[in-house]
Amino acid sequence: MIDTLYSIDALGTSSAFFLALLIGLGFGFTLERAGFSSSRRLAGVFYFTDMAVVKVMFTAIITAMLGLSYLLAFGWIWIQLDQIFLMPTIYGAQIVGGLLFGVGFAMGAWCPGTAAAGLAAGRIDALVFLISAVGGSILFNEIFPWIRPLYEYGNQGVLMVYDAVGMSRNTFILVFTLIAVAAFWLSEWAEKVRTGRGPYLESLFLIIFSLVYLALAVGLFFLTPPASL
Amino acid sequence: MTSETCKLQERPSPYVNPYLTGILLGLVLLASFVILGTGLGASGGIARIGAWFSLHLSASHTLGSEYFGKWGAKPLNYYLVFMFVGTFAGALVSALLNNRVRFQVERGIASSVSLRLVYSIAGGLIVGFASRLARGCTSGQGLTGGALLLTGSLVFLVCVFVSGYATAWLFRRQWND
Repeated sequence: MIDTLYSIDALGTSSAFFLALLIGLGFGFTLERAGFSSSRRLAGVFYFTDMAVVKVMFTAIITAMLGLSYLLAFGWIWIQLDQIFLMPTIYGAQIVGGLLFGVGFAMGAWCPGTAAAGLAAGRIDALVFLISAVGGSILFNEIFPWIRPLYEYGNQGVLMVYDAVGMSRNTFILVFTLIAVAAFWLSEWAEKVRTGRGPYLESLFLIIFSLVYLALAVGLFFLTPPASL
Repeated sequence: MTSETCKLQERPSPYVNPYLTGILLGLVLLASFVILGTGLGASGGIARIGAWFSLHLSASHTLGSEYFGKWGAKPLNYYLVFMFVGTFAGALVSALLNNRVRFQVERGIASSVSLRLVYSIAGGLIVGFASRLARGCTSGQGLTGGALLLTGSLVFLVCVFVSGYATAWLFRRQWND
């Protein structure tokens, strides 16, 4: 079985720093490849003119979700969920934080990762956004004693979403994959309506892509009985 | 070489298939889970730079503060700082390969530079603050927590898009052509 650096408490070592740098290289490369070094392309998601954010992000989420689920299904060989750092659910902080973040995202048309990509592509608006985001972090530290009750409000500990909604893990994954596929088709349709261009709408590629992911989600039922997770 | 072909070469490459790029991003995230045991993150690196800056303004104040204080005197010795540097470098490679490096304030043609910069500055401030409150951004909560099927992360992601869609109309003028 693989020992993750987190599971052996080695995230603070220099080899972890080097591996994080390499993973960052892959992260930045794909963000830029997706066209996320352009604030205009990112902002397009909010005006239904360019839905790349939804397509790339949702594809990445279900790819990692399904990939990890298949590795977990062979947990004794590969990896188990307790070897991965699972963030706690803290409703107050994450709801207010999310609502605030959305306003900042719509205004600035960057988020922290994409702004790093934008800076690499020479965007001055990404540079000022990043400097400001450093300032926002400092502001948070300065008023932390006042914000602390909200920061810890509604703490549920680690709460898996399938437990929260009372589904089996595999059922939730299938529902989530269906939502993602629906989001892809709706995104293509919205682009077609708004801009007249929808290269992937009803394309053979999108049909096969959708079916492959749904098949992968269904396939999990054959590997892991719902009761085991 | 004619000026025509020269112009063609100066053009940025068109964007590739977003779904295939999404698969690639998902595999990077999966590699991060398997190797590091944590997902991707970006705002964590930014916050560490904030703590470093704060230390240089006033070391005693920063070390005594409740939030930055626990990161100690060397806040940059953290894996997410290195991941952030990697993110910048990886994006630079792709931007150079695809001829997409442009030193500009990106905005609508009919929009003013100052309006776009004001929105970038205000948006950055809000995003920097909100990422600390939510313990992560679209990378650390959205992508990572989403793929791990963590309730709070998915709630965060829904809230981001609800408020983004609810308010984007107010900020649309920066993209006017």
